[in-house]
Amino acid sequence: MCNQTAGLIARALEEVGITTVTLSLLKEVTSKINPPRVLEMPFGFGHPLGNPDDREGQTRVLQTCLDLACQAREPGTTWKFDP
Amino acid sequence: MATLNDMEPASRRFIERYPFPDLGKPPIAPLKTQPEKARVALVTTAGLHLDTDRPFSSSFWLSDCSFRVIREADYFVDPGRLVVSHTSKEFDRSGIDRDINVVFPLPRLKEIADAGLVGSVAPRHLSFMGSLPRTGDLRKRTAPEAARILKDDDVDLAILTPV
Repeated sequence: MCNQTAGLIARALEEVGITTVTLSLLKEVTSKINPPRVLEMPFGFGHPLGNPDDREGQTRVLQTCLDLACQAREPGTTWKFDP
Repeated sequence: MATLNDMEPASRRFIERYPFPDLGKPPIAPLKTQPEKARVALVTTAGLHLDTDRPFSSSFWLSDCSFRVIREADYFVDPGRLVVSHTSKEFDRSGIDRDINVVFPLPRLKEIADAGLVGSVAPRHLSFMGSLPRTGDLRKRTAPEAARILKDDDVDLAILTPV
């Protein structure tokens, strides 16, 4: 249910003008909540940013979030993270 | 990416039968500034909190919709104070135990801020318990309250990390 909770919070933040990017580990749930910008992560439950100690990969996730935040024009924009 | 088939049968059945709300088209707030000037906050649903905070309820059905504030200053003084009290049995905690960045990448965020890729790291970050079968209190009260806190801190962008 974490993916539902994250999506609901994202929608509340957008309501007050805060841009959000929501990572998703389970698109079957995230798609039901439909947050405005979603980055689908190819990792298992418990580590949405990938493997521990993968500094480069974790940094790339954050950089991809910045790109998505800048480039998404339509609500419901979904990207897949390429590890 | 994980799928429903990766979950325990009982959890999978629960989600398959869950009455998800019909929320319609999402609101969208365009980023108002360049990333290099943006203030960024993290919001996780991993049930993280400082060891001095009240833990989240261990009752799944109670749906503890509260949240905890994680101040950047507190974290960097002693990262070891961050603990997890999440009820879900579905996720592997070994990654978090080894490297908090797998779910709460505050150290990575600070690095890219120091490198000038983002304007600043927000002073306050937020943590919720993600396992919430009942979300009424979240939607009506605590998520808007969280939004006000980040708004008060002039946050431009929030990155949400479920587990």
